[in-house]
Amino acid sequence: MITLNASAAKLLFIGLLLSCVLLTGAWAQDFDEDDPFASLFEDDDMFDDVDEDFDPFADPADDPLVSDAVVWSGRFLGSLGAAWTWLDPWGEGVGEPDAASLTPGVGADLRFDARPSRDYRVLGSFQIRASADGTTAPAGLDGIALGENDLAALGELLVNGDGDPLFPGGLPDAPDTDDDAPAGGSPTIELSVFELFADFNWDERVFFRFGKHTISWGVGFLFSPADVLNLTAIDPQNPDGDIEGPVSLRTRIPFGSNTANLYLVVPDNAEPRDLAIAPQLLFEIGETELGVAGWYQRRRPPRGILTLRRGVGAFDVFAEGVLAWGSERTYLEARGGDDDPPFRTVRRDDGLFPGATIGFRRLDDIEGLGNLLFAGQYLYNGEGYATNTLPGRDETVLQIATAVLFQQAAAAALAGTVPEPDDLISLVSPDDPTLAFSDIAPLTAGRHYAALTTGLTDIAGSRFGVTVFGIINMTDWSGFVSPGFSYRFTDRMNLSATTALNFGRPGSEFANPATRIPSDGLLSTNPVFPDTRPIISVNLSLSLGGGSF
Amino acid sequence: MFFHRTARRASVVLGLLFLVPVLGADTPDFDTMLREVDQLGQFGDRDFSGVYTIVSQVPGQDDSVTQARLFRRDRSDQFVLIILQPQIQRGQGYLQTGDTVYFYDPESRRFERTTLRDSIQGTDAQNRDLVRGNLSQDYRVTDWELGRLGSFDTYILDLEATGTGVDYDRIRLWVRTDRPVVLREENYSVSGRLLRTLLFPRYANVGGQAVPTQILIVDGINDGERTQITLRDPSVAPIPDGVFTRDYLERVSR
Repeated sequence: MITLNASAAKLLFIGLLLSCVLLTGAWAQDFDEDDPFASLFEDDDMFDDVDEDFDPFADPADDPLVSDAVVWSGRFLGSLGAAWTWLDPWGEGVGEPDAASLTPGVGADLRFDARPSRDYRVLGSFQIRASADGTTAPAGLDGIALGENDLAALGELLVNGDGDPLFPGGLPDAPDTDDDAPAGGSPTIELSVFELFADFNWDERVFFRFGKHTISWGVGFLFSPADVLNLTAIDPQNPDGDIEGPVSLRTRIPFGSNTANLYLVVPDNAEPRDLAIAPQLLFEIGETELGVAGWYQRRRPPRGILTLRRGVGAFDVFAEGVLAWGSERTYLEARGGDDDPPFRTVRRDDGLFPGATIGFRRLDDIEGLGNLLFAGQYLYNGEGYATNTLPGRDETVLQIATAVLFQQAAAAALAGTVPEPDDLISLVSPDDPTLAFSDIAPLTAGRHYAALTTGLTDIAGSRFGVTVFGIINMTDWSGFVSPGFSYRFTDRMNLSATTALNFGRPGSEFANPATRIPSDGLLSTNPVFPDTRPIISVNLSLSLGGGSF
Repeated sequence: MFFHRTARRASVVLGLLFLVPVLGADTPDFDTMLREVDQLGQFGDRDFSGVYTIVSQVPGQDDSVTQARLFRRDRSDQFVLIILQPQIQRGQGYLQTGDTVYFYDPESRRFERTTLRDSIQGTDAQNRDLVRGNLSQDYRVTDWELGRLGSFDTYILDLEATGTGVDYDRIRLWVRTDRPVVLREENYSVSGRLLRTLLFPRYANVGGQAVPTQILIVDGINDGERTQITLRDPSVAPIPDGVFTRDYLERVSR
């Protein structure tokens, strides 16, 4: 009989146990009654029998291209916005704000989609907007844009030689600016057709879309210099916002993974020969999408366009290049020495005007962190001014351009009411081309711009979100930064608070727009502009009841 | 003393005797196995289509149901995924052409680049869960063991990414020993945290290939979050070329 002492028995037991574990790696699985998933695999036959030749297009109910009924859908937009602006917080402090507003926003988008057959579809999209009177805070891109309402200030700016106002009661037919009473009138209802088009095709080879529709043209996220077809441009602060397209016929021919498009765009009040033509080829080359396009319309600068887009790691990288022959803008130039008038406005119908942009974007749901948007973009605007001042002058291009625009607008508005309205124009010749607001619109004056936007929502599974948007004109080094946060009470109620800090020397693009409106001497060759420092604004917005239906 | 030495030797020899079958057994060719796993879900020259229903469960919330039709053409690395339900998102879709995946946003009329890792309508299901995998190229087996899951003997494989262009750095895979069918998959982060568990309890034979008809996804981070995917009407009937185009995605969108 063999007897074992304790250590020998222990060794034998360990050897047996090790062997058992190695022999049956599933030992733990076999006897792990805690595995909650094992019961899913108790059925020996885990394969189902199916009809592998089932035709997915046989039943119209399963075909997304066909619908028995016209489908209506839409979304409701509701918000209550409050804004406070301090024009000179650096000198006067942040006591009583210089401007405050309470602005309700109510609107809806309605869309119908009719698909009587696989090769025919009609879609319409309508926008309803109700807006009450209110004061828009002069901050952000909206804030720096001058518009028709700013002409109301002309009545006080036009003075005679004694300094007395020429029109103390305001300009004839000038907008009524008496806003002492709080807004409380009936809201204005705007109804517009945003899209209305039909899709049809020839033998499933050539696909047509005719009507008013948004055109997918450029690849830029915050700027798109290539997009000359749509009626509205991308708003860098709201890059996912609606872009309104023109009436056009799109002819599309897919070939392989590539696509050929031809757009015929119908301008307003035009002759047949004014039809704009825009061919486009989109190539898929590996992970890169390359676009080659052109645009031609009689009496407008023709353009050649290249677009590029590809994924680089977690980022979507994109670029656009545009080369135009001539510009549609009116430019301001300084005349030499002591010439009178000291400036002139000119058109540049000839010459090459390049434009380009390059940027990146990352949109990701990062586990444990939240939903991230991170995008940045550089814009080269070849139609912009190379410097922000003109030779021999201290004022900025935008200050002089604004004064010229006001003088020309005043002369046009007063034609017939004063003997020689052209006498109101002193900065340029009355015969010079007229400046338009579009010539001093945001993102047109400078030659170099950059913007960055980032947002993180549902942070770490919470209801909080943060955003930061910044944009800079690298020609005059003005810009603004807008940080904000949001809190989602429910899916139908969201509070967001943003601040905007504009910076830049007086008269620069993103500085306080008041520094571009003459405070004195409008009719002279040396208008005076106020010298105010950066403004700060705070906006609170409560979205209420918004959602799709 | 003799007995002690004998016993010690006996225990060692006995242990080694048990070890011999294990050490001497042929290690399966896992490279081939991963290729077979990849191949089993590939349709080569034939098209594939089916309707997937995705039910997402989040504690404290109503279940969300998403239905999508998938069209696949593996020979040209293309797929189109069209959302059918909920009605409000009907027509939204994804298109893969080559190495690029686009999401068409009907609101902005833009094609946005996305990835196979992108979740489908905010669920735990990802685009990659509905299309063929590429395990044999993206991963290598670092460890394995035998196991059992329900009624099936399985190889349990630990996979490690061979590059950086993958969604998960580590994967644990349960593969049937009798045929290269995946029963269970666990996705881990680089730090070893379990992110998702996928279970494949039902399959269908379609066109000579095995396609999961039922997938259960258990969220490894958010306790209680589960997603169930079921497949109906799997088919290898030919699909018109025009389906795999941006134009089709635009036409079906609302």
